[in-house]
Amino acid sequence: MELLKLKGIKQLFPLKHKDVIVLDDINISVEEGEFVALVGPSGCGKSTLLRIIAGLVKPSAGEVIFKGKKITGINQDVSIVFQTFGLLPWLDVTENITLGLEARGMSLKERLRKAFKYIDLVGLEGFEEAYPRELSGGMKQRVGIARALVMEPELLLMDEPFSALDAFTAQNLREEILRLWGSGNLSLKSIIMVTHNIEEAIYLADRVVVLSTHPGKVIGDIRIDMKRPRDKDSVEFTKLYDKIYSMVVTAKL
Amino acid sequence: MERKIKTLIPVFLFFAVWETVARLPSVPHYLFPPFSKVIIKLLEEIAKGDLVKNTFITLYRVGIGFFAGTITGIVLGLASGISEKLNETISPIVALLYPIPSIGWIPVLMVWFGISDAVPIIAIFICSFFPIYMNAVRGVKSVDSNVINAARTMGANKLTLIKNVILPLSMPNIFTGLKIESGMSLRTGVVAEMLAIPSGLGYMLMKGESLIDVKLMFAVLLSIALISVIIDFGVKFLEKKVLIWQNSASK
Ligand SMILES: Nc1ncnc2c1ncn2[C@@H]1O[C@H](COP(=O)(O)OP(=O)(O)OP(=O)(O)O)[C@@H](O)[C@H]1O
Ligand SMILES: [Mg+2]
Repeated sequence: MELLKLKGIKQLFPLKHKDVIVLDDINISVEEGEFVALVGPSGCGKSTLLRIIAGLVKPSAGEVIFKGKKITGINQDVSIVFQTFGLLPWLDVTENITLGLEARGMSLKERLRKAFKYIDLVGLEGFEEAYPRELSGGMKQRVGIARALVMEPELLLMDEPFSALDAFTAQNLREEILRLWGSGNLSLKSIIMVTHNIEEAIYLADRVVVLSTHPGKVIGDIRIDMKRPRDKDSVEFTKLYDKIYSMVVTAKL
Repeated sequence: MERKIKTLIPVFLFFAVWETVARLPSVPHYLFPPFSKVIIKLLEEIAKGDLVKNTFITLYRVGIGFFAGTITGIVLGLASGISEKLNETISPIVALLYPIPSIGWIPVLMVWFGISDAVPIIAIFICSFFPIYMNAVRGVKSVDSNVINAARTMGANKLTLIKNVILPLSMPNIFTGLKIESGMSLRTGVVAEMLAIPSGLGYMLMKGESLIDVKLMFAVLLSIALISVIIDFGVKFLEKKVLIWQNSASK
Protein backbone atom coordinates (compact mmCIF):
# COMPACT_ATOMS: atom_id res chain seq x y z
CA MET A 1 0.00 0.00 0.00
CA GLU A 2 1.23 3.44 -0.88
CA LEU A 3 1.31 5.75 2.13
CA LEU A 4 2.75 8.91 0.61
CA LYS A 5 3.13 10.17 -2.91
CA LEU A 6 4.87 13.36 -3.95
CA LYS A 7 3.75 14.48 -7.39
CA GLY A 8 5.78 17.07 -9.26
CA ILE A 9 6.73 19.04 -6.16
CA LYS A 10 8.38 22.33 -6.99
CA GLN A 11 9.47 24.99 -4.54
CA LEU A 12 10.55 28.52 -5.35
CA PHE A 13 11.94 31.00 -2.86
CA PRO A 14 12.10 34.68 -3.69
CA LEU A 15 15.63 36.01 -3.88
CA LYS A 16 16.57 39.65 -4.45
CA HIS A 17 16.16 39.78 -8.21
CA LYS A 18 14.56 36.54 -9.25
CA ASP A 19 13.12 33.44 -7.62
CA VAL A 20 15.44 30.53 -6.96
CA ILE A 21 14.18 27.06 -7.66
CA VAL A 22 15.02 25.01 -4.58
CA LEU A 23 13.09 21.86 -5.44
CA ASP A 24 12.13 20.89 -8.96
CA ASP A 25 9.78 18.15 -10.08
CA ILE A 26 10.17 15.86 -7.08
CA ASN A 27 8.32 12.57 -7.50
CA ILE A 28 8.70 10.11 -4.66
CA SER A 29 6.42 7.39 -3.47
CA VAL A 30 6.70 5.82 -0.02
CA GLU A 31 5.08 2.47 0.78
CA GLU A 32 3.57 1.53 4.11
CA GLY A 33 6.27 -0.03 6.26
CA GLU A 34 9.10 1.62 4.39
CA PHE A 35 12.05 3.46 5.93
CA VAL A 36 13.34 6.03 3.44
CA ALA A 37 16.54 8.01 3.89
CA LEU A 38 16.98 11.31 2.06
CA VAL A 39 20.54 12.41 1.35
CA GLY A 40 21.98 15.27 -0.66
CA PRO A 41 24.31 18.25 -0.50
CA SER A 42 23.71 20.97 2.05
CA GLY A 43 21.12 23.48 0.95
CA CYS A 44 19.53 21.21 -1.67
CA GLY A 45 16.13 21.49 -0.01
CA LYS A 46 15.85 18.37 2.16
CA SER A 47 14.42 20.20 5.16
CA THR A 48 12.12 22.14 2.88
CA LEU A 49 10.84 18.87 1.42
CA LEU A 50 10.10 17.51 4.91
CA ARG A 51 8.21 20.69 5.75
CA ILE A 52 6.20 20.30 2.55
CA ILE A 53 5.36 16.68 3.40
CA ALA A 54 4.21 17.73 6.89
CA GLY A 55 2.05 20.44 5.37
CA LEU A 56 3.98 23.23 7.11
CA VAL A 57 4.90 24.76 3.75
CA LYS A 58 2.67 24.87 0.71
CA PRO A 59 4.69 23.90 -2.35
CA SER A 60 4.82 26.32 -5.29
CA ALA A 61 3.59 23.49 -7.49
CA GLY A 62 2.78 19.81 -7.19
CA GLU A 63 0.80 17.69 -4.79
CA VAL A 64 1.32 15.76 -1.60
CA ILE A 65 -0.92 12.71 -1.58
CA PHE A 66 -1.28 10.90 1.74
CA LYS A 67 -3.23 7.62 1.78
CA GLY A 68 -4.76 8.61 -1.52
CA LYS A 69 -5.88 12.05 -0.39
CA LYS A 70 -4.42 15.36 -1.37
CA ILE A 71 -2.98 17.18 1.66
CA THR A 72 -3.72 20.85 2.22
CA GLY A 73 -2.58 22.30 5.53
CA ILE A 74 -0.98 20.42 8.41
CA ASN A 75 -1.11 16.66 8.07
CA GLN A 76 -2.31 15.33 11.43
CA ASP A 77 -0.91 11.85 10.74
CA VAL A 78 2.65 13.09 10.44
CA SER A 79 5.11 14.00 13.21
CA ILE A 80 8.58 15.50 12.97
CA VAL A 81 11.77 15.00 14.97
CA PHE A 82 14.32 17.81 14.65
CA GLN A 83 18.09 17.97 14.93
CA THR A 84 17.79 20.81 17.47
CA PHE A 85 15.04 18.96 19.41
CA GLY A 86 12.69 21.97 19.52
CA LEU A 87 11.60 21.42 23.13
CA LEU A 88 9.96 24.12 25.23
CA PRO A 89 12.41 24.95 28.03
CA TRP A 90 9.84 25.90 30.65
CA LEU A 91 7.95 22.61 30.37
CA ASP A 92 9.14 19.38 31.95
CA VAL A 93 9.48 16.12 30.02
CA THR A 94 5.88 15.04 30.58
CA GLU A 95 4.48 18.46 29.71
CA ASN A 96 6.56 18.66 26.55
CA ILE A 97 5.32 15.26 25.46
CA THR A 98 1.65 15.94 26.20
CA LEU A 99 1.56 19.38 24.59
CA GLY A 100 0.09 18.17 21.32
CA LEU A 101 -2.44 15.90 23.04
CA GLU A 102 -3.74 18.94 24.89
CA ALA A 103 -4.29 20.68 21.58
CA ARG A 104 -6.32 17.65 20.50
CA GLY A 105 -8.58 18.15 23.50
CA MET A 106 -7.65 14.92 25.29
CA SER A 107 -8.43 14.68 29.04
CA LEU A 108 -5.59 15.06 31.53
CA LYS A 109 -5.86 11.43 32.66
CA GLU A 110 -5.69 10.13 29.11
CA ARG A 111 -2.81 12.49 28.29
CA LEU A 112 -0.76 11.26 31.22
CA ARG A 113 -1.50 7.62 30.44
CA LYS A 114 -0.27 8.13 26.88
CA ALA A 115 2.74 10.17 28.00
CA PHE A 116 3.91 7.51 30.45
CA LYS A 117 3.53 4.82 27.81
CA TYR A 118 5.86 6.66 25.43
CA ILE A 119 8.21 7.77 28.20
CA ASP A 120 8.66 4.07 28.94
CA LEU A 121 9.05 3.18 25.28
CA VAL A 122 11.90 5.62 24.70
CA GLY A 123 13.57 4.84 28.03
CA LEU A 124 12.97 8.07 29.91
CA GLU A 125 11.59 6.52 33.12
CA GLY A 126 12.62 8.56 36.12
CA PHE A 127 12.92 11.76 34.07
CA GLU A 128 9.20 12.55 33.85
CA GLU A 129 9.60 15.79 35.77
CA ALA A 130 13.02 16.82 34.50
CA TYR A 131 13.42 20.02 32.53
CA PRO A 132 15.17 20.07 29.14
CA ARG A 133 18.20 21.94 30.55
CA GLU A 134 18.73 19.06 32.98
CA LEU A 135 18.96 16.49 30.16
CA SER A 136 21.83 15.41 27.94
CA GLY A 137 21.48 15.78 24.17
CA GLY A 138 20.58 12.12 23.80
CA MET A 139 17.87 12.42 26.45
CA LYS A 140 16.50 15.54 24.80
CA GLN A 141 16.21 13.69 21.53
CA ARG A 142 14.42 10.85 23.30
CA VAL A 143 11.90 13.46 24.46
CA GLY A 144 11.71 14.72 20.87
CA ILE A 145 10.98 11.18 19.65
CA ALA A 146 8.42 10.51 22.39
CA ARG A 147 6.73 13.82 21.65
CA ALA A 148 6.47 12.84 17.99
CA LEU A 149 5.29 9.26 18.66
CA VAL A 150 2.69 10.19 21.28
CA MET A 151 0.69 11.82 18.49
CA GLU A 152 0.48 8.29 17.04
CA PRO A 153 1.50 9.28 13.52
CA GLU A 154 1.56 6.89 10.62
CA LEU A 155 4.50 8.69 9.07
CA LEU A 156 7.47 9.93 11.07
CA LEU A 157 9.75 12.57 9.58
CA MET A 158 13.22 13.06 11.03
CA ASP A 159 15.50 15.93 10.04
CA GLU A 160 19.11 14.95 10.85
CA PRO A 161 17.86 13.54 14.16
CA PHE A 162 21.20 12.15 15.36
CA SER A 163 23.72 14.60 14.00
CA ALA A 164 23.84 16.76 17.13
CA LEU A 165 24.72 13.73 19.28
CA ASP A 166 27.98 11.98 20.04
CA ALA A 167 28.68 8.78 18.09
CA PHE A 168 27.80 6.40 20.91
CA THR A 169 24.51 8.08 21.82
CA ALA A 170 23.59 8.38 18.16
CA GLN A 171 24.11 4.66 17.60
CA ASN A 172 21.99 3.83 20.64
CA LEU A 173 19.15 5.96 19.36
CA ARG A 174 19.41 4.44 15.87
CA GLU A 175 18.89 0.98 17.34
CA GLU A 176 16.04 2.37 19.39
CA ILE A 177 14.30 3.83 16.35
CA LEU A 178 14.65 0.53 14.45
CA ARG A 179 13.19 -1.31 17.44
CA LEU A 180 10.21 1.08 17.76
CA TRP A 181 9.48 1.09 14.05
CA GLY A 182 9.94 -2.68 13.68
CA SER A 183 7.95 -3.65 16.77
CA GLY A 184 4.64 -3.34 14.97
CA ASN A 185 2.98 -2.20 18.21
CA LEU A 186 2.71 1.38 17.09
CA SER A 187 0.49 3.08 14.58
CA LEU A 188 3.75 4.18 12.97
CA LYS A 189 4.12 2.76 9.48
CA SER A 190 6.83 4.57 7.60
CA ILE A 191 9.78 6.81 8.33
CA ILE A 192 11.47 9.44 6.17
CA MET A 193 14.81 10.56 7.54
CA VAL A 194 17.05 13.33 6.24
CA THR A 195 20.73 12.75 6.92
CA HIS A 196 24.20 13.78 5.82
CA ASN A 197 25.55 10.52 7.08
CA ILE A 198 25.55 7.99 4.22
CA GLU A 199 26.56 5.16 6.53
CA GLU A 200 23.59 5.97 8.76
CA ALA A 201 21.29 6.03 5.74
CA ILE A 202 22.41 2.58 4.58
CA TYR A 203 22.37 1.19 8.10
CA LEU A 204 18.77 2.21 8.75
CA ALA A 205 16.82 2.63 5.55
CA ASP A 206 15.07 0.39 3.03
CA ARG A 207 15.69 3.01 0.35
CA VAL A 208 18.12 5.85 -0.01
CA VAL A 209 16.90 8.73 -2.16
CA VAL A 210 19.64 11.08 -3.40
CA LEU A 211 18.86 14.71 -4.21
CA SER A 212 20.97 17.03 -6.32
CA THR A 213 21.31 20.73 -5.71
CA HIS A 214 20.37 23.89 -7.67
CA PRO A 215 17.72 22.81 -8.23
CA GLY A 216 17.01 19.86 -5.95
CA LYS A 217 16.02 16.87 -8.08
CA VAL A 218 15.91 13.16 -7.40
CA ILE A 219 19.04 11.73 -9.01
CA GLY A 220 19.08 8.36 -7.35
CA ASP A 221 16.81 5.93 -5.55
CA ILE A 222 18.74 2.98 -4.19
CA ARG A 223 17.10 -0.02 -2.59
CA ILE A 224 18.94 -1.47 0.41
CA ASP A 225 18.07 -5.14 0.53
CA MET A 226 20.37 -6.15 3.39
CA LYS A 227 18.99 -8.01 6.41
CA ARG A 228 19.03 -6.18 9.75
CA PRO A 229 21.12 -5.78 11.83
CA ARG A 230 23.44 -4.70 9.05
CA ASP A 231 27.16 -5.21 9.14
CA LYS A 232 28.89 -1.95 8.28
CA ASP A 233 32.07 -3.80 7.36
CA SER A 234 30.47 -6.20 4.91
CA VAL A 235 31.32 -6.04 1.21
CA GLU A 236 27.71 -5.31 0.30
CA PHE A 237 27.56 -2.37 2.70
CA THR A 238 30.83 -0.93 1.42
CA LYS A 239 29.72 -1.24 -2.19
CA LEU A 240 26.48 0.58 -1.47
CA TYR A 241 28.40 3.22 0.42
CA ASP A 242 30.74 3.86 -2.50
CA LYS A 243 27.85 3.99 -4.95
CA ILE A 244 25.83 6.51 -2.94
CA TYR A 245 28.90 8.51 -1.99
CA SER A 246 29.85 9.05 -5.64
CA MET A 247 26.26 10.07 -6.39
CA VAL A 248 26.25 12.67 -3.64
CA VAL A 249 29.58 14.00 -4.85
CA THR A 250 28.32 14.40 -8.42
CA ALA A 251 25.12 15.92 -7.02
CA LYS A 252 27.16 18.86 -5.83
CA LEU A 253 28.44 19.64 -9.31
CA MET B 1 23.68 38.68 52.63
CA GLU B 2 27.42 39.23 52.87
CA ARG B 3 27.41 40.47 49.28
CA LYS B 4 24.68 42.98 50.05
CA ILE B 5 26.70 44.40 52.92
CA LYS B 6 29.71 44.64 50.62
CA THR B 7 27.80 46.77 48.11
CA LEU B 8 26.51 48.99 50.91
CA ILE B 9 29.94 49.82 52.35
CA PRO B 10 30.96 52.19 49.52
CA VAL B 11 27.57 53.88 49.77
CA PHE B 12 28.06 54.57 53.48
CA LEU B 13 31.56 55.75 52.75
CA PHE B 14 30.16 58.13 50.14
CA PHE B 15 27.68 59.59 52.64
CA ALA B 16 30.44 59.94 55.25
CA VAL B 17 32.69 61.85 52.84
CA TRP B 18 29.75 64.03 51.86
CA GLU B 19 28.98 64.79 55.51
CA THR B 20 32.63 65.61 56.29
CA VAL B 21 33.19 67.83 53.26
CA ALA B 22 29.95 69.73 53.86
CA ARG B 23 30.99 70.39 57.45
CA LEU B 24 34.32 71.97 56.47
CA PRO B 25 34.26 75.54 57.87
CA SER B 26 34.61 77.15 54.43
CA VAL B 27 31.58 75.37 52.91
CA PRO B 28 28.28 77.28 53.26
CA HIS B 29 25.43 74.90 54.22
CA TYR B 30 22.85 76.64 52.08
CA LEU B 31 24.88 75.70 48.97
CA PHE B 32 26.11 72.29 50.03
CA PRO B 33 24.16 70.88 53.00
CA PRO B 34 25.54 67.90 54.93
CA PHE B 35 23.96 64.48 54.41
CA SER B 36 22.41 64.45 57.90
CA LYS B 37 20.60 67.75 57.27
CA VAL B 38 19.29 66.45 53.95
CA ILE B 39 17.92 63.38 55.70
CA ILE B 40 16.23 65.58 58.31
CA LYS B 41 14.76 67.69 55.51
CA LEU B 42 13.64 64.52 53.76
CA LEU B 43 11.82 63.35 56.90
CA GLU B 44 10.25 66.79 57.38
CA GLU B 45 8.99 66.80 53.82
CA ILE B 46 7.61 63.31 54.23
CA ALA B 47 5.86 64.38 57.44
CA LYS B 48 4.41 67.43 55.69
CA GLY B 49 2.97 65.09 53.09
CA ASP B 50 4.27 67.08 50.15
CA LEU B 51 7.01 64.70 49.14
CA VAL B 52 4.80 61.65 49.47
CA LYS B 53 2.03 63.24 47.44
CA ASN B 54 4.38 64.33 44.66
CA THR B 55 6.13 60.98 44.63
CA PHE B 56 2.82 59.29 44.02
CA ILE B 57 1.96 61.77 41.28
CA THR B 58 5.25 61.00 39.53
CA LEU B 59 4.85 57.25 40.03
CA TYR B 60 1.32 57.43 38.65
CA ARG B 61 2.54 59.15 35.46
CA VAL B 62 5.53 56.84 35.09
CA GLY B 63 3.32 53.82 35.77
CA ILE B 64 0.76 54.69 33.10
CA GLY B 65 3.27 55.76 30.45
CA PHE B 66 5.53 52.82 31.13
CA PHE B 67 2.71 50.28 31.15
CA ALA B 68 1.10 51.63 27.98
CA GLY B 69 4.49 51.86 26.21
CA THR B 70 5.44 48.36 27.26
CA ILE B 71 2.18 46.74 26.20
CA THR B 72 2.12 48.58 22.87
CA GLY B 73 5.78 47.72 22.33
CA ILE B 74 5.23 44.04 23.03
CA VAL B 75 2.11 43.75 20.88
CA LEU B 76 3.51 45.67 17.92
CA GLY B 77 6.92 44.03 18.33
CA LEU B 78 5.44 40.53 18.28
CA ALA B 79 3.30 41.42 15.29
CA SER B 80 6.29 42.81 13.38
CA GLY B 81 8.41 39.85 14.37
CA ILE B 82 5.81 37.48 12.98
CA SER B 83 4.76 39.38 9.88
CA GLU B 84 7.64 40.40 7.64
CA LYS B 85 5.30 42.78 5.77
CA LEU B 86 4.42 44.66 8.94
CA ASN B 87 8.07 44.70 9.96
CA GLU B 88 9.04 46.22 6.63
CA THR B 89 6.41 48.92 7.18
CA ILE B 90 7.02 49.80 10.82
CA SER B 91 10.75 49.29 11.28
CA PRO B 92 11.93 52.13 9.00
CA ILE B 93 9.65 54.53 10.87
CA VAL B 94 10.97 53.26 14.18
CA ALA B 95 14.55 53.62 12.92
CA LEU B 96 13.80 57.24 12.11
CA LEU B 97 12.04 58.14 15.37
CA TYR B 98 14.00 56.08 17.90
CA PRO B 99 17.14 58.29 17.87
CA ILE B 100 15.12 61.37 18.87
CA PRO B 101 15.61 61.85 22.61
CA SER B 102 12.21 61.33 24.20
CA ILE B 103 12.62 64.56 26.20
CA GLY B 104 12.88 66.34 22.83
CA TRP B 105 9.15 65.75 22.44
CA ILE B 106 8.26 67.59 25.64
CA PRO B 107 8.15 71.15 24.16
CA VAL B 108 5.93 69.87 21.33
CA LEU B 109 3.64 68.09 23.77
CA MET B 110 3.47 71.27 25.88
CA VAL B 111 2.19 73.19 22.89
CA TRP B 112 -0.32 70.47 22.06
CA PHE B 113 -1.63 69.71 25.54
CA GLY B 114 -0.77 72.73 27.71
CA ILE B 115 -0.41 72.03 31.43
CA SER B 116 -1.61 68.45 31.47
CA ASP B 117 -0.70 64.99 32.72
CA ALA B 118 -0.64 64.03 29.07
CA VAL B 119 2.76 65.71 28.62
CA PRO B 120 4.82 63.54 31.00
CA ILE B 121 2.74 60.43 30.27
CA ILE B 122 3.18 60.64 26.51
CA ALA B 123 6.89 61.46 26.85
CA ILE B 124 7.30 58.38 29.07
CA PHE B 125 5.25 56.32 26.62
CA ILE B 126 7.59 57.32 23.80
CA CYS B 127 10.71 56.45 25.75
CA SER B 128 9.29 53.07 26.86
CA PHE B 129 7.88 52.00 23.56
CA PHE B 130 10.99 51.93 21.36
CA PRO B 131 13.38 49.69 23.30
CA ILE B 132 10.58 47.23 24.00
CA TYR B 133 9.46 47.18 20.38
CA MET B 134 12.98 46.63 19.04
CA ASN B 135 13.74 43.90 21.54
CA ALA B 136 10.42 42.14 21.01
CA VAL B 137 11.08 41.98 17.25
CA ARG B 138 14.57 40.65 17.92
CA GLY B 139 13.10 38.14 20.37
CA VAL B 140 10.64 36.72 17.84
CA LYS B 141 13.35 36.53 15.17
CA SER B 142 15.57 34.55 17.50
CA VAL B 143 12.97 31.84 18.18
CA ASP B 144 14.14 28.48 16.81
CA SER B 145 11.87 27.91 13.80
CA ASN B 146 11.81 24.21 14.62
CA VAL B 147 10.03 24.87 17.90
CA ILE B 148 7.37 26.68 15.91
CA ASN B 149 7.24 23.90 13.33
CA ALA B 150 6.96 21.29 16.08
CA ALA B 151 4.10 23.16 17.74
CA ARG B 152 2.31 23.54 14.41
CA THR B 153 2.54 19.86 13.53
CA MET B 154 1.14 19.12 16.98
CA GLY B 155 -1.92 21.14 16.11
CA ALA B 156 -1.24 24.50 17.74
CA ASN B 157 -3.34 27.26 16.18
CA LYS B 158 -2.00 30.74 15.60
CA LEU B 159 -3.14 32.16 18.92
CA THR B 160 -1.75 29.25 20.99
CA LEU B 161 1.46 29.51 19.02
CA ILE B 162 1.89 33.19 19.84
CA LYS B 163 0.75 32.90 23.44
CA ASN B 164 2.47 29.66 24.42
CA VAL B 165 5.55 29.53 22.20
CA ILE B 166 6.58 32.81 20.62
CA LEU B 167 5.82 35.18 23.50
CA PRO B 168 7.56 33.10 26.20
CA LEU B 169 10.59 32.47 23.98
CA SER B 170 10.83 36.21 23.27
CA MET B 171 10.69 37.08 26.97
CA PRO B 172 14.46 37.19 27.57
CA ASN B 173 14.78 39.85 24.87
CA ILE B 174 11.72 41.72 26.08
CA PHE B 175 13.24 41.91 29.55
CA THR B 176 16.42 43.37 28.08
CA GLY B 177 14.22 46.17 26.72
CA LEU B 178 12.34 46.49 30.01
CA LYS B 179 15.55 46.95 31.96
CA ILE B 180 16.67 49.73 29.62
CA GLU B 181 13.40 51.60 29.63
CA SER B 182 12.40 51.35 33.30
CA GLY B 183 15.20 53.70 34.40
CA MET B 184 14.67 55.92 31.37
CA SER B 185 10.97 56.30 32.13
CA LEU B 186 11.54 57.81 35.55
CA ARG B 187 14.18 60.21 34.21
CA THR B 188 11.96 61.30 31.33
CA GLY B 189 9.04 61.78 33.73
CA VAL B 190 11.05 63.98 36.08
CA VAL B 191 12.34 66.14 33.23
CA ALA B 192 8.83 66.54 31.82
CA GLU B 193 7.60 67.65 35.23
CA MET B 194 10.44 70.14 35.55
CA LEU B 195 9.50 71.74 32.28
CA ALA B 196 5.82 71.32 31.89
CA ILE B 197 3.71 70.85 34.95
CA PRO B 198 3.52 72.17 38.56
CA SER B 199 3.34 68.82 40.35
CA GLY B 200 5.47 65.74 40.87
CA LEU B 201 9.09 65.27 41.90
CA GLY B 202 10.36 67.25 38.92
CA TYR B 203 8.27 70.20 40.02
CA MET B 204 9.62 69.94 43.58
CA LEU B 205 13.14 70.21 42.16
CA MET B 206 12.17 73.40 40.35
CA LYS B 207 10.55 74.73 43.50
CA GLY B 208 13.80 74.07 45.36
CA GLU B 209 15.64 75.98 42.69
CA SER B 210 13.38 79.02 42.86
CA LEU B 211 13.62 79.10 46.69
CA ILE B 212 17.37 78.42 46.50
CA ASP B 213 16.64 75.51 48.83
CA VAL B 214 19.47 73.09 48.07
CA LYS B 215 18.47 70.87 50.98
CA LEU B 216 15.06 70.35 49.40
CA MET B 217 16.60 69.59 46.01
CA PHE B 218 18.97 67.06 47.53
CA ALA B 219 16.10 65.47 49.44
CA VAL B 220 14.14 65.09 46.19
CA LEU B 221 17.18 63.75 44.31
CA LEU B 222 17.73 61.18 47.04
CA SER B 223 14.10 60.09 46.73
CA ILE B 224 14.48 59.74 42.97
CA ALA B 225 17.60 57.61 43.46
CA LEU B 226 15.76 55.43 45.95
CA ILE B 227 12.75 54.97 43.64
CA SER B 228 15.07 54.04 40.74
CA VAL B 229 16.74 51.40 42.84
CA ILE B 230 13.36 49.98 43.86
CA ILE B 231 12.07 49.93 40.25
CA ASP B 232 15.26 48.27 39.07
CA PHE B 233 15.01 45.69 41.79
CA GLY B 234 11.36 45.09 40.90
CA VAL B 235 12.11 44.47 37.22
CA LYS B 236 14.97 42.11 38.05
CA PHE B 237 12.79 40.25 40.53
CA LEU B 238 10.06 39.91 37.91
CA GLU B 239 12.59 38.70 35.37
CA LYS B 240 13.79 36.01 37.74
CA LYS B 241 10.21 34.87 38.35
CA VAL B 242 9.18 34.89 34.69
CA LEU B 243 12.38 33.44 33.25
CA ILE B 244 12.87 30.82 35.92
CA TRP B 245 13.35 28.21 33.16
CA GLN B 246 16.40 30.08 31.88
CA ASN B 247 18.50 30.16 34.98
CA SER B 248 18.27 27.79 37.89
CA ALA B 249 18.40 24.02 37.53
CA SER B 250 15.28 23.28 39.56
CA LYS B 251 11.65 24.26 39.69
N1 LIG C 1 11.61 30.43 3.99
C1 LIG C 1 12.62 30.52 3.09
N2 LIG C 1 12.79 31.64 2.36
C2 LIG C 1 13.79 31.74 1.47
N3 LIG C 1 14.69 30.77 1.23
C3 LIG C 1 14.58 29.63 1.93
C4 LIG C 1 13.55 29.44 2.91
N4 LIG C 1 13.70 28.21 3.45
C5 LIG C 1 14.77 27.66 2.84
N5 LIG C 1 15.30 28.50 1.92
C6 LIG C 1 16.44 28.22 1.05
O1 LIG C 1 16.20 27.00 0.40
C7 LIG C 1 17.38 26.25 0.28
C8 LIG C 1 17.16 24.88 0.84
O2 LIG C 1 17.02 24.94 2.25
P1 LIG C 1 16.87 23.64 3.14
O3 LIG C 1 16.99 24.06 4.55
O4 LIG C 1 15.65 22.93 2.73
O5 LIG C 1 18.14 22.80 2.71
P2 LIG C 1 18.73 21.45 3.33
O6 LIG C 1 18.92 20.52 2.22
O7 LIG C 1 17.90 21.01 4.46
O8 LIG C 1 20.12 21.96 3.85
P3 LIG C 1 21.00 21.38 5.07
O9 LIG C 1 21.55 20.09 4.62
O10 LIG C 1 22.07 22.42 5.23
O11 LIG C 1 20.09 21.28 6.24
C9 LIG C 1 18.46 27.03 0.97
O12 LIG C 1 19.22 27.69 -0.02
C10 LIG C 1 17.72 28.01 1.83
O13 LIG C 1 18.47 29.20 1.92
MG1 LIG D 1 18.22 20.86 6.55
